[in-house]
Amino acid sequence: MSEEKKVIDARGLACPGPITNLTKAYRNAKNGDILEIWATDPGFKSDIKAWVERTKNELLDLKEEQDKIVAVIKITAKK
Amino acid sequence: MSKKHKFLIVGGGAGGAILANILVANKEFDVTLINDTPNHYYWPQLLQIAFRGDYSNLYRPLGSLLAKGVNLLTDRVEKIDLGNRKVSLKSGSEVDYDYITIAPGITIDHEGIAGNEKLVLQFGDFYSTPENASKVYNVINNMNNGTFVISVGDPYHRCPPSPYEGILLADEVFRMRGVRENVRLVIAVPYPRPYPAESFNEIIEAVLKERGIEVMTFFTADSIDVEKKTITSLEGETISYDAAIVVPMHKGPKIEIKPEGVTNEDGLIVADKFTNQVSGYDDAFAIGDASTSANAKTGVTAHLQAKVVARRVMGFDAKNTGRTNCPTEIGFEMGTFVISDYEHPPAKLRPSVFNFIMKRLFADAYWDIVRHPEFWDPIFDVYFENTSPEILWKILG
Repeated sequence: MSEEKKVIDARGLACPGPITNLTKAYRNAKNGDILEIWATDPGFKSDIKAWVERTKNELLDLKEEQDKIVAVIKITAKK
Repeated sequence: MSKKHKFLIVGGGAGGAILANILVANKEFDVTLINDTPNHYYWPQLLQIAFRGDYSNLYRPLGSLLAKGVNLLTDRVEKIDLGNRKVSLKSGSEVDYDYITIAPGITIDHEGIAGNEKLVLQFGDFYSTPENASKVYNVINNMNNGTFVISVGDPYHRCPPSPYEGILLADEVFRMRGVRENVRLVIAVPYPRPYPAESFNEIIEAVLKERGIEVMTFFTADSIDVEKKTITSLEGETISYDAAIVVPMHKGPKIEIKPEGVTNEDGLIVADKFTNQVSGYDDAFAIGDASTSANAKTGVTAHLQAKVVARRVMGFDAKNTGRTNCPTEIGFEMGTFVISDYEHPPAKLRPSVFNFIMKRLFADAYWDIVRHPEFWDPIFDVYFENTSPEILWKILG
């Protein structure tokens, strides 16, 4: 199966709603997939950095746009 | 006299039964409620069975909880066709409607986490059946040493504080039995901190620390090896146990709902978080655990959503505020509440004996609350207004 890109729209969810939604998506993801998470909770930036560090996946991008924080993750550590 | 609107409710849990009892008092509606069992279960009692062996408050006949005039059908709903306003039942009959509210609750899926079916046979859980809750009671009353683990597999489970209540009540039992110093207690959660909401974590983390309970963060149970007695997480870590409970996956109801696209990948019905309206259908609502509009899978949420649906079909512009009011028992006759809404994270409400008593009062009054919303709702309106997250944040900081 080819790699997929999935957008997780967690805008409006308070912490750790975005991480919880990411966890749900991670269960179905496979190595090579790209997960892009949109969030508005300011605590998301530190939470996503901690998640990537713990899970050993790859954080390709983490940026603040006008109306949201965007994190792009490449899944590389799925067992 | 104008014709009554046929109002169909699928599911006789807290949300469905309360909605039926509110609507039947209005002469505009002919109310029919369909439930797949003759009984109404009070699911929080599973925790009391698991840790206290208390079966007293588990279920009542649904008919005894419904006001006169509600038509009760005991049957299994197999298909809901929103486009044609038709519901098909296992018995073969079909029911049509003018309005529908879908409130069947969730389906527990032990198979969703590899090995959990075998694990639950051994150690039980407090999410599925009274029999499984009873197994937990036997385990914690016979275990004298080793590691007891509660691990969250699905972060969107019923009763958000329940894993914490479970590990804290287990701690109470082990202490009362005099074996606590020989039993290691671990709670493993998918979140960056012990409790998902940062504000309420300040309360729970301190309690867990004081009671000597270990926490594993970023640990989402993914598979269980019952031979090796290990749980492995999605995040790649493994924990060993002597006895363990893994919070199972929660899926949507086993009902075919047409058209496709009104349910999400977990089978939950996609509904507006303010109005509970099913997307694209002004005559269809979804409330409670099976609806994406429920920000917490609790009876209180379903109750408040039922009130919103009732008021909307009576012509008022009522909306969910996202208010939660989750009683959280921490053992030794102490408790707190997780009180939040869409605008405010949970307030830092510290555990107290008073909050424990409030929890027990709500539980004891539950059947009457379901049966008589006309009596209780004005009382709850005052309670919710005076304990709003906004007020609590001002008081508690």
